Amino acid sequence: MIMKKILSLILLACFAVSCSDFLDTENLTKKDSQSFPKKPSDAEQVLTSVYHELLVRDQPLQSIFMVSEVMSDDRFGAGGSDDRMMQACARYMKNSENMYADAWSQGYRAIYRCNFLLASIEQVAWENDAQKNRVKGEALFMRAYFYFNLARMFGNIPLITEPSPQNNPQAAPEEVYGQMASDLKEAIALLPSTTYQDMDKLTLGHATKWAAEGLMARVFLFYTGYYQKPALPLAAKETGEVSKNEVIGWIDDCVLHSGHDLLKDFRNLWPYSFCKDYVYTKDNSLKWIGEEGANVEAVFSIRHSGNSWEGRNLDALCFGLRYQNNYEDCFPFGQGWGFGTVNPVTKDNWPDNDLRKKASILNVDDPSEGMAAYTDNGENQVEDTHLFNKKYIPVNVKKLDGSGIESMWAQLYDLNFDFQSCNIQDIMVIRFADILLMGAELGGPNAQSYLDRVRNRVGLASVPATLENIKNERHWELAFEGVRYYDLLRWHDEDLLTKNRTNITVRSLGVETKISIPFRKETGGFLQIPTSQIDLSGKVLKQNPGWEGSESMY
Amino acid sequence: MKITALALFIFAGTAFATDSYSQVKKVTIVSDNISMGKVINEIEKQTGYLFVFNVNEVNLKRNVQVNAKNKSTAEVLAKVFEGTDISYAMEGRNIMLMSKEKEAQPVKQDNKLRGTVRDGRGEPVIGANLSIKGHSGGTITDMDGRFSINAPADAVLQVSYIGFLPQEVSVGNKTTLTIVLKEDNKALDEVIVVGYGVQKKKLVTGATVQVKGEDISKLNTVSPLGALQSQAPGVSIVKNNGKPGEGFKVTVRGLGTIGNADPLYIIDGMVGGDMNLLNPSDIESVDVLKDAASTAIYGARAANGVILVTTKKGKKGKPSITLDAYYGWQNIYKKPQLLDAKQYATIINEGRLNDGLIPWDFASIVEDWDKIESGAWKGTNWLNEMVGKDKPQQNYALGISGGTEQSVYSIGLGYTSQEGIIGSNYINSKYERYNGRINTEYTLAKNDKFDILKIGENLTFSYTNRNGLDIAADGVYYNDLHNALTAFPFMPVYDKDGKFQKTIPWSSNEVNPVAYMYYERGNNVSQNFDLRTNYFITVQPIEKLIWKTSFGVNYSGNSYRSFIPSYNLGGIYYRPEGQDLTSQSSGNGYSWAFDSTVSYDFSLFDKHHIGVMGGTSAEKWGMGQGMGGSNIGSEFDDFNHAYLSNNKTIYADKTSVYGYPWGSGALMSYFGRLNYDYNDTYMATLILRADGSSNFAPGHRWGTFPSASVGWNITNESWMESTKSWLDFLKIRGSWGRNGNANIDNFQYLSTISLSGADYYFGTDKISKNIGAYPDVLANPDVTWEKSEQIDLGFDARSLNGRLGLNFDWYNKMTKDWLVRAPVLSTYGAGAPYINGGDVRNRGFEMALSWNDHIRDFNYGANINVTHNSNKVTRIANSEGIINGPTEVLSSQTQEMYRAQVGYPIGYFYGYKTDGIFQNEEEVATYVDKNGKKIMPNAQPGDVKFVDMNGDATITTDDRTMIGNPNPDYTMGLSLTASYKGLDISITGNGTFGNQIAKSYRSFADRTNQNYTMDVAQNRWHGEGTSNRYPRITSQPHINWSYISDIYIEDGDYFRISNLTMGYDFMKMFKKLPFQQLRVYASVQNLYAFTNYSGMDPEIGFGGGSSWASGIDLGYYPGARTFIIGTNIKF
Repeated sequence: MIMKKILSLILLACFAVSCSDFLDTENLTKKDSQSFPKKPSDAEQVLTSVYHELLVRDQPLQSIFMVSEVMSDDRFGAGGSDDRMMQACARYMKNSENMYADAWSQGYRAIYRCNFLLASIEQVAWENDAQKNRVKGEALFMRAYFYFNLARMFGNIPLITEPSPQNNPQAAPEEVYGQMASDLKEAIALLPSTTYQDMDKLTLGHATKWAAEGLMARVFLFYTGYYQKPALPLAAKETGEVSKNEVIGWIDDCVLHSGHDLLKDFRNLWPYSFCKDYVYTKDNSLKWIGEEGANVEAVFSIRHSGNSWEGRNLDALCFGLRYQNNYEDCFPFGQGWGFGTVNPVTKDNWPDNDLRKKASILNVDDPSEGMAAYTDNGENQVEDTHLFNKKYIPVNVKKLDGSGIESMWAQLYDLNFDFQSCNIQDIMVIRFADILLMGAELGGPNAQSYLDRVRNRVGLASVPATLENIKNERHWELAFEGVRYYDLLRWHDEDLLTKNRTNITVRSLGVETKISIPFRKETGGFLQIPTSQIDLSGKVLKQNPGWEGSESMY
Repeated sequence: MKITALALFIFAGTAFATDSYSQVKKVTIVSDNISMGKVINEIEKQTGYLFVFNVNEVNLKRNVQVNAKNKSTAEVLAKVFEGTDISYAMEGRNIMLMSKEKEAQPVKQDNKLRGTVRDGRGEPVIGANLSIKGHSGGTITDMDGRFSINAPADAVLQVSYIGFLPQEVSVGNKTTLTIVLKEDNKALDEVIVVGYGVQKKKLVTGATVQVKGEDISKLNTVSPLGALQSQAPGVSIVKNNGKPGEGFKVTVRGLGTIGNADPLYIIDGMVGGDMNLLNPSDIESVDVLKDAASTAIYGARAANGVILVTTKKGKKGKPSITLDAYYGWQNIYKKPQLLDAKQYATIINEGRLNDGLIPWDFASIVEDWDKIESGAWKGTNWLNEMVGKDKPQQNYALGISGGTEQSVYSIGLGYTSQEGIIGSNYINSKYERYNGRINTEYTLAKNDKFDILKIGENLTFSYTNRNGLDIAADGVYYNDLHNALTAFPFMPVYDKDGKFQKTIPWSSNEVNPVAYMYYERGNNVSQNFDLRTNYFITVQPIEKLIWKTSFGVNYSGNSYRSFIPSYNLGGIYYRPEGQDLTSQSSGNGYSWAFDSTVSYDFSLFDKHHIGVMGGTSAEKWGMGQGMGGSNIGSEFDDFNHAYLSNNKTIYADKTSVYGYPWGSGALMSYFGRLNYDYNDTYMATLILRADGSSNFAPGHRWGTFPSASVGWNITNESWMESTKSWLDFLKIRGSWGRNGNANIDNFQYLSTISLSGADYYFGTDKISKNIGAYPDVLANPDVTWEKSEQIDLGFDARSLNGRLGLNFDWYNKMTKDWLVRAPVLSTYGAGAPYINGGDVRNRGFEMALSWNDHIRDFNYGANINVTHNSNKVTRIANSEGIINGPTEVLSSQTQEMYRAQVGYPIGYFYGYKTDGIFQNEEEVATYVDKNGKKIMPNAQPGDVKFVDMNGDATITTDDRTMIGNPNPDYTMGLSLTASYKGLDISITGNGTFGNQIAKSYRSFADRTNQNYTMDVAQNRWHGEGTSNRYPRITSQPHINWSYISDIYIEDGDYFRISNLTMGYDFMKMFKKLPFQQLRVYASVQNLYAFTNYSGMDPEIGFGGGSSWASGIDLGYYPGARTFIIGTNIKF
């Protein structure tokens, strides 16, 4: 064989005879798009790569959750004095021209993968239609999810629904939202009506029909509220629209048929309830619901994992206490970057009789929290209010052998206790309480009962399902969960953003100072389009109002 | 003293002038019994005269009696030669001794042959050697070039003289002869390697430079490339960093691409290979092909120049054995001064005060503050801890060569080792290299005139071992040198128990840098093994028709292993018990190349010389694989046992294994060359090569690369006779050619599906992952060659009897259709493919000037070369016209600091221009635009005054501009050599001019508690008029430093005395020893650098992670200053 090869080479070299396949090589590690996806498992892998984009990598402002929290009136940017990016974001300003480039590209990367999957759906050898419908439904859901994030963050975005490179100008909002509506409508139709209880828990993390119904309601409420339209359009090539009644129907369907429900105790949703040595947990006999399938309230969650640096929950790390190195002193709350300190105004406005207040806000000066010592100015902390959120924050526990403290996640999943990588709490993007509150806000025959269910759970009496009451309820129920800022925008309550963050006393570098953060109306609440993208597009993309020039530079 | 040919040479060149020197110069020799040899020596010593004679005529052992006190030289000579057959003559400072019979009795016998020897200009040649072929003895010519010699009737007279071609003359029955010697323009008759062959230097029409092996090995560098640095104009060689065994960034005639810009290396005719793996003693010569006409014969891969390395070959004759050995001691050349503990505390509190904060009460937060305050303890100087002293470097190379009529051989064996100067106080940090080489050639069939059939092979082998060299990466992270520069002095190395000190409360996110290095990067070894063999057969059926075919195989293997123990240095710097990490990997593979050429040289009508060559080449590479893995929990807990089999437990999430193919490629080529010259005067060369590369899609694989060049040896023209007296040789040449570059990842023409980095975590256990798959790159089916077109105009001249040489080249190189991953819109959703996306122009000139001469025994020479290059990007195929560099290079929170942009040089520094430091409030208030609007209203005195480039009255990112260029305008090399008898001395230097360096020995933008270097502290602003260089100290990150501005930029001009060597060859003293050479020398490398650059070493190859950037110094492993003693022995 080898001799034959050598012989042919000699011939080749002597007589300049070329065999045409000499220059062909085979790629031994990668498949290519001509032959992929072919099997259903291929398609599942492409779908997985879309979900992967739910995970934030290493840049906090990549996450709509982070961005919307620090821009809301509940929080400040905070962090260290060098975290100017966070502080700029919270001030509706920029400290570089490409501050949100990662968020932008991550969104479109996910959309490209959805488009790629949707375009090749017919070339896959499906085992049955149910399989095909589920994958297609999830891909449509994910495309709508990422478009919704991009549309809320950036306002004016190009709409791309094919996997081929296109330098499209920014589409009108009705086109973008119309695409989301069509995608979600089709997803609702394609996804199976399996109840949460009947669902194979090994598929936990996948989008469901119920998640699609919930997301549809969110899209509807934001679009009709922010753009002040009565209904949600469908994609350009379709006729008709999504009406409010249709959305109410989907919410009712979700409430009735999904199997999702509220947990008995609101506080058992949050990881601190796992730490039995935490005074608050002990005193209230809390027991964390966990993330392994028992949580019926989680309709759609971002799944974090301790298996990799990418799998970590960076948001929770960012919200941790900045450089509080002695974990005993701040037990059970753990170390992080000190971003998103809580606005004292939020605390002051929150009725004390609402158990969710103490379940949601950590006041490090409150003796009943049992904190031994909180160090001021931990590694140059700025905009410290001594108030932190309790929902998404690192939580420590005592080691089982009594030898000290470790992260609850390190204990639960046998991880290396590295405070930077071992926060792996899932983020509940759509929680059943939110489904109920959206149902209440949309109106319809069940509005009052939906609102009552949420209040009853935390022992609060019924109030009429007025918009004012629902606004308050959303604030206290869903505080620090990434919904407040866009709620205020869609209700056009932007003034509250300015009002609630005026003349607030904070500690920066250990020194008390007052800060005021006015909302920059000219931006419409949208972020800066990455300048590099505008340049790359050859100015086909246009910058959002309020972001040109240096006035917006922090 | 015997005849020194060189002395005669100079004698010949000196006009005969009678002066009274001999009358004036007095000597004193008093002895009853002294040999003639000693008398001559003594006269030479006392007078400076030089004797010229034939040893066969003058009996040096004859003892004479001399009693001369302050006598004239002539008198003494008359006395000592009295009664002998020797006469003497004095001319200038030379004394000729001759047999009297030549003058007095010119014709004694019938077969006495007389004559004169003249040079081409009719001048007599004095001291030429004459002998009869096959007979011993002979004579030399006298002052008039006359000679007489006994010659049988059928004799063949051999005439030789240095600087002229030896001649043989059949005497026949002549009795008088006039012999005209032809000058030997030996330097011009040298051949150089041109790719698939050699060519006479004087006929070469392209721009090439040849460096001899001896000029490389004598500089005692670990890598041959280090020695090329000062000797090859047009070739920029910058060391990657000063780590032992580290490679070099080599650029021929400017950066032509932001992709792979390495030149093509060809070692003994085989493409590829790493020059750093060769022992300098094994190298015969290095030829660099620079212009497109020269490189075109390598077509597709030659766009960035070609470097041809030839290892030593055997020669017919008795075995020659050489032994080169040296041992050296390395030390850091320059150490930046760091603040001691007290100075550090002062600066830190100055920053606090400047920020309106209360100063720290160090007594309450820093242990042993009283000792620091009293000066009893200066704190730790981490740099002193990190830098080792007198770290050895050594090299031993043995060479044996020789051969017979049938076969020649050359064998080399070498060992080189170098310890690191950084970190080696704590860890074993060392590079070792073992080399072997066997080159042999056998003549299987030959006739009287030429070899008909020859076979042979070249084999080189190298094995390298790198221990503990994962330390000191060049950037801000994993850079132990940077860590040492920045660690604060409050922390001792060891705690009171003698263990490494853990983080201290003062700033618990700064770690003990030597301990961190020791644990994290100290325990590793990588081995690399490389075997290159090339087998060839040469068939010459008729004279000068040569068919040569060669088959080369390169087999290489590597292995790596490391261990990180569990440790706890406090803060986030720990690895828990049982989590100690063992990593292992290895790989091996091979490539082959199969070349065939047919060449034929012939002449037409005597004066038309034609050489044709055609060939084919097929190559395949990347047939190999790598495997590796890592796991925690070693049963042994130490590096010696760090093998994966010693980690018994497999963990789903902590054990990793991998295996991958190298990724193969192939190249298929056809090429031809036509050389023509008319009477060695008018030359032309045409080259055409066609290449097909597997890196491109079918239909885009083949490229054709033509070139043409012409040359004219003007000095051959008859009308140039008038300048012959001073101009020996002048050639002008011009060339044009096109080359290619195919250095990209394969399969860019397809949209590949990646299975990496897109996992998600469905299910209940939060640990097991689902693998995601996605198209990772947009397909570009059209991607094809990068092309480089180059025009070269130059001349080569030698004058003043070859003493002065001058080479000059001007070039204009346009690289078109760069292979680049130009950024694409994020909305495309996948990675940018390689596109043919940019053009860059390099234009410049190269000049090499040499002077070689001697004054009697004193030989001296000087070579200087200067290169100018200007680099400009002329197109980038995205609408931005920019390829951005990375952010966060100087530290976290800093923006992009270099980029490639149309209209600018590649990798230019990008940031804010500054205009000094605000000295007072008034300067802030008066820093206004034309409308009176304050430009930096919030600035304080001591802040940096940034320049508002766009005039919008605020400082924004739009004000950033070009603040420096890491590409030098000029590079220069210099070597000076001198020798006197056995003594030799040489100085080598090199430098760059017009380039800038960005220096940051501290993470100003995010790590507030890091230590300062003295130059920053001393030049900080601390009150009006104190400084205009660096801003005030702040305790918090401030735009003063977090903006990339020209306060980071310094001029990088330097000229370095890279080598000073003095040697003595003891064979001049002890002639009886059985050596040809017994030289002992001492040498200093990196003796001195003339520079204003404040950092450790101005030669900075690091560019923040991009191959196309350079000149960023964040604590860059500097080159050592090495003191070496060594010997060269030759039998």
